[in-house]
Amino acid sequence: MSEALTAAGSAILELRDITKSFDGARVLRGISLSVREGEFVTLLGASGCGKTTILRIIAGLETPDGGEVLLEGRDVVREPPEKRNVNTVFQSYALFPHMTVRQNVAYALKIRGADKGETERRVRDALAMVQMEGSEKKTPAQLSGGQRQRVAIARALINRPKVLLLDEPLGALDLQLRRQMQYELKKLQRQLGTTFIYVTHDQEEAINLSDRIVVLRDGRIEQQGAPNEIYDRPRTSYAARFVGSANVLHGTAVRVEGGAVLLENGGGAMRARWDGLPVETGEALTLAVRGENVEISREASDVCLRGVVEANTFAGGMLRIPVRLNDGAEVVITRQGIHFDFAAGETVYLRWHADAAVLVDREEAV
Amino acid sequence: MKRGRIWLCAAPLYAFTLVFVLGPALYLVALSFAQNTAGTGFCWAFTLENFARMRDPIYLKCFRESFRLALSTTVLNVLLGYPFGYFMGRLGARGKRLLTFLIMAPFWTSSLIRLYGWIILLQVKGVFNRVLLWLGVVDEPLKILYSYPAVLIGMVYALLPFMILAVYTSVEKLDWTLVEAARDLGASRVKAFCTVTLRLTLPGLMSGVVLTFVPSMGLFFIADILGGNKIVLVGSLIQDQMTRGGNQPFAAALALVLAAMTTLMLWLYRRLTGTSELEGVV
Repeated sequence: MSEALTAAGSAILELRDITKSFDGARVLRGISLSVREGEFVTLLGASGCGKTTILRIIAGLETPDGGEVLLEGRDVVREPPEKRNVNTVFQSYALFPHMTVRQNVAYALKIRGADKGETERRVRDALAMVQMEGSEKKTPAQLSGGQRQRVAIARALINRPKVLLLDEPLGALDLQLRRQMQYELKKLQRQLGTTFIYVTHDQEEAINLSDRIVVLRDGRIEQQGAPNEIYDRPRTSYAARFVGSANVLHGTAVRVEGGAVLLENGGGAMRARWDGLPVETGEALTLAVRGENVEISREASDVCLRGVVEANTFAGGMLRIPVRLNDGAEVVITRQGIHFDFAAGETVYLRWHADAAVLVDREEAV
Repeated sequence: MKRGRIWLCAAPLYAFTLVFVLGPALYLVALSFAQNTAGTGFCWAFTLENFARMRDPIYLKCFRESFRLALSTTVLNVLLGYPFGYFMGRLGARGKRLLTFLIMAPFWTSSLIRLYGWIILLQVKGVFNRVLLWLGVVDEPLKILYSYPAVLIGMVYALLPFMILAVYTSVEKLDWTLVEAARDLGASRVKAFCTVTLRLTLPGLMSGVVLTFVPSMGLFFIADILGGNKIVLVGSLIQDQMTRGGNQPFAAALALVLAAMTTLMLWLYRRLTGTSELEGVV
């Protein structure tokens, strides 16, 4: 059976309605997820959303209260971690402090009783893969954070697992090293064709690395899809804020005209792309629009929002200009570069192209 | 100026150490080479006679007995103390507090009184024998008291808390993610325990070994009280020579050899674990 399924690009890993509580607190509320072979899937969410618990359930370090974990079509919920062809790169790396780099990487082979020559060869290959040749005799304490990270990856990959689980592996590294490791991880994943399931709370990391992002919130999947899909068409205000920090604004519907919905609020009027679902006049609607798509001017036009520039700050190669609207809501405009013509305290008018704004938190389409 | 004042503050401590620790130690070494004279005195004439005398089979047996008892005590303490300390380290905060309290509580009573408690438990008509008889395990009461097993029980009882606390401290500090990593990499429960848990809590276990082995070489009063003079340990011998036997130089020589043996143990400990600190209790 597996032959036919694999040919169809079937799921290597499938979670079916996983639930889990700790001391009465529900951490996972029915997670269903299907991962294809060779896919790079990122579980993205704030801390406490249950993303690490999902990894631990896949690894077998935690037993779910309900649901199934299918690895290559077989339910492994009752199987101990050592029986699963899945390995983990832990957040803290969890390198064995009493062993050298070589012994750490060789651990999985030694436990199985693999022969010396083969162990030697595979340890060398694994260390070469993460560019850590020559550090065999060092102990983890003698390595830098980035080097420990590499050794942890080599150790987890030496068994050639079907699925590699990575729990915020770059969380402890500084920004520059993190960018470099992102690139290397992605390259490694493409080379090996191993399925990666990656946990992070960093949306930029998720966008850069993933084939698919799964946005989690309070133990539920909020939205999943390719990075650009979630970025361009967030379905909920949470996903819109979390992926790409969009502005979320509320208003009441006035009418639908030419593929766009016209909305009104205390700050003025605005447009959003019509999603084809019925819109009633006076209905409360929410839209998401990214800071880079908001136009700003000193002149009012017939559809615009009125506000006051609060400040402008420069961070990470980007200008961030918060504008306080008349109704108290805040819109953050972002611009490349460091030049900006509007001073703090100036009254301005904001508008955007209808296609740049998406209606969110709509009832699920049938 | 400032440095001088610090020295002035520390001076009493140094003086105290010099007079009451180093002084007696040097006196002990000197005394071990002095000549015993008939009666209760001795004279300062250099001799190796006190050490030569230890080759007497009676005294060699005494050392052997002490060593054997210390070793059995330590082995039993490892077997009982490691699992206890391990599971204690895995308990919740409340369980840990409760067990620590239960382990420490007996120390509020004098150890001598507690030993007399063991006499009541172990004697022929004691609680232990009555329970055995009632259960039908034995037909007539066991004569445990004033025997080697009684001494062993007393020693294990007295020193077990140190082993438990030493193991507990190192288990508590253990990063359990490492055990999870071992399982994740294919190790069964048992293999993960042997290659990671045990290896990383070994310093605690070893300091427990030192903390039980070293004192058990010298805890003569347990053997005296529960062993009824049948088991003579080096500690009792020293005490005996010092007081009743009236041979102070010989007592000093015995004490010196005992100290040398325990120092050797500590040195071995450092070699084996590669550390000089005793984890936990100290």
